[in-house]
Amino acid sequence: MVGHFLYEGLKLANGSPFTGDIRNGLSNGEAGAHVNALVFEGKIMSGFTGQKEKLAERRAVDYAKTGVINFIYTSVQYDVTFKTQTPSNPNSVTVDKISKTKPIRAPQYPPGP
Amino acid sequence: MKLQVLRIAVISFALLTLLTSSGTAGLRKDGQWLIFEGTVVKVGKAPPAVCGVLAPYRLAKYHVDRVYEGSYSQSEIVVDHLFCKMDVLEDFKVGDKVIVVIDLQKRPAEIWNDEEVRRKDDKIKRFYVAKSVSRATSCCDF
Repeated sequence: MVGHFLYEGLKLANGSPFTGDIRNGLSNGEAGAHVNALVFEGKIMSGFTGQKEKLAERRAVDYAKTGVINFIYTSVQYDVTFKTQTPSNPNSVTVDKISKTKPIRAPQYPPGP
Repeated sequence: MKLQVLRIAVISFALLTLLTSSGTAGLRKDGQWLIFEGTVVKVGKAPPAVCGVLAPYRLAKYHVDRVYEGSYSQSEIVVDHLFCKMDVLEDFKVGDKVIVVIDLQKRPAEIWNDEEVRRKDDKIKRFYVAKSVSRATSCCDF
């Protein structure tokens, strides 16, 4: 997460859009800071797991019901449950629980339901 | 005389070339945009976080009143608005007239279902990502 955050921030500071045109590849500068950072995050995770993690993907399709966002890599998936934001600080998000599971499918971009 | 006519023709051609290419060079691609005037039908709830490690989207449903560029055959459309530095939908309410620019080349970086505008089980044929949304004004608003 820290790697994603720093890499994305660096790209944004250099003028990249948050998301962009992915037709020339996800690592291409045109793809945007967030997409580049998803690829970078996969490389960091490869070092962590010792396996080739092709990409990181967020899956938030159930978030409204469950409060869970899936962080999907090739060999591992983390299901992160977020606490409801506090009215006094609506921009804060607190992690409530993290569960490590097997990926439901390979990470993909653009993501599908 | 002939030289003068030729000179005027060359200048006119140069001006025409400038007018049609500058400002849109590198931005405009055929079939990239869907631009329509619409009416806000529903604004979904705001995601819990702004852009960063996540790429959240706020959803809105519009009635399509008039298509200015591109083609769209249905009467309503659900649009994904990236929820970054500012909430672009914050000031809109049901019934507001808007101009929406959709980038047809883009798909959302993440799929967010708010269970209001879009539900998990909805069958989605295509996602529409907004480039911008602004309030439609008439002559008398100025």
